[in-house]
Order: sequence, then structure tokens, then C-alpha cells
Amino acid sequence: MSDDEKKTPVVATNLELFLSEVKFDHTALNVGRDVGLGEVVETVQLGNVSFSKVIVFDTDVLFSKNLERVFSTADPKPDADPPQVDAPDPPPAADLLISLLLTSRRSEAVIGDLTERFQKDSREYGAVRARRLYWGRALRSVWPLLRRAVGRAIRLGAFVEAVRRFF
Amino acid sequence: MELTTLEQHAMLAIMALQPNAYGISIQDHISQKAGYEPSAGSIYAALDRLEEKGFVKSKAGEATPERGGKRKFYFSLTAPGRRALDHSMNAVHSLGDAAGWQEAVA
Repeated sequence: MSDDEKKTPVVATNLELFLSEVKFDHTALNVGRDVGLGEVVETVQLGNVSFSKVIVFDTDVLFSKNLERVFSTADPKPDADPPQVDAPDPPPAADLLISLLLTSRRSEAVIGDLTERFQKDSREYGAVRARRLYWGRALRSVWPLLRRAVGRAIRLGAFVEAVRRFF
Repeated sequence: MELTTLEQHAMLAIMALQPNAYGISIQDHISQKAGYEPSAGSIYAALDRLEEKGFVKSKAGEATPERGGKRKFYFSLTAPGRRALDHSMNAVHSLGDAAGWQEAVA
């Protein structure tokens, strides 16, 4: 087949169009498998849907010109981000507990760190275990923060008392 | 001025991690190098004390969606902090030398 006999590759941008053109059960398509009218060269699984890029011979002109056409069911927006799944939220009660013991600036830092860990854990272990780990970390943090807050209050109280005595 | 062990470790972690020393990275560094994992609360209580003493300073960084829109706070050592850490490390080494620590564990 010479270059001038080839058509410009045609890109089908959705799965229905691809299936109607190829007339094959999508489940029969596998990478590298010859499907008669063409050949699957690449399959990508996104969630429950498979997207396949297939080189399909044009049946209308198969015997006369033996042209090739390329159909792709790849994502119509190749640069688009993959579908986003809503990230779970960390337990708000644990955040509240931390924020009661700290200044707003410090609680922002601590809760931000705990949330960053939570997001990583929820990707690795799932939301339920991540929430448990979050609570564990938050509770482990309470004692040193409480001690610090009490120490500060005592120092402040002692200072106020000293000022009162002086005046 | 004396430093607690955790304060000493936190300051060494801050030095090692510049310019990316914030709560989680400090915690992970201590966990990897010192073999124990202090809680976020312990780390921030220590950093709070150090900041109060003027040994470290913090700077607000970027807020990311992964942190629930909360900002990171990056820490660095101040000049008095470096001197205090140097003094503290020298004290540990002097005490260790006086006890013949290296020969004892060799």
C-alpha cells in the first residue's frame, strides 16, 4: 500500500461511534487481538469503561484500495484530568478538639498536617481506616498541646498575679 | 538555654530539611533518623517553645487542597537558635566523652 493510497486517519471520539463503526462486541476486543476488520492496538481501562484504539480496515474499499482507517475511542479530551472522585473529609470533631487548644495560626498548621496525612491514608487504606488513624493522631496530639496550653495559662496567671501585687 | 531532646531533634531536622521544613517533613525526618515518631502535637508544642525562645522562626506557605485549604508553616533556625543548638550538641559530646561513651559501646 503506497502512501497516496492511504486516507488520513479518522479519529472517533466516543465509544458508541467506535462500536457502531467496528460492529464488534467491545468485550471481544483485546490488546493485539485480530478482530477481523481491524486490530486493537491499545486498550485503556477507566473505571468500568474500556477505551480502545483500533486500526480498522475500511470495508467499503477493502478489496479495491485496501485503505486503512484509524478509530480511537480514547478520551475525547486527551489533556483532561482523569475523573475526580470526591476526597473524603477528615472527622470535624477531631479538628475542633485540636483548634480549642491552639492559636488559630498553630491550629491551621496542625490540622493541615493531619489532613495531609489523612488524604494519603485514605488513598492507601480507604476512608474508614484513614478516619481511625486521623483520630489516633489527633488524640495523641492532645496531651502535649494541652500541657502546653495549661503551662501557658499558669505562666500568664502568675504574671497577672505578680503585676497585681506590684500595683 | 537548655534544649529538650525533642527540641534538639526538631532543630537538627529543620537544619537538614531546609527549605522544606514543616510539620510533616520534620516528623518524618525524626522518625527515619531517630527511630521514634513524635506526634504532631509534640512537634508543634516543641516548635512553639522554640519560637517563643527565639530559636526558630516560621513563615506561612501555600495552602493546598490536600491540606483542606490550610497553609503549611515552614520553619528555619535563627542565629541564637544555631548557637543554642551548637551549645547543646557540644554539651552532649562533652558528657559522652567524659563517660568514655564511644569506648564503652565499641
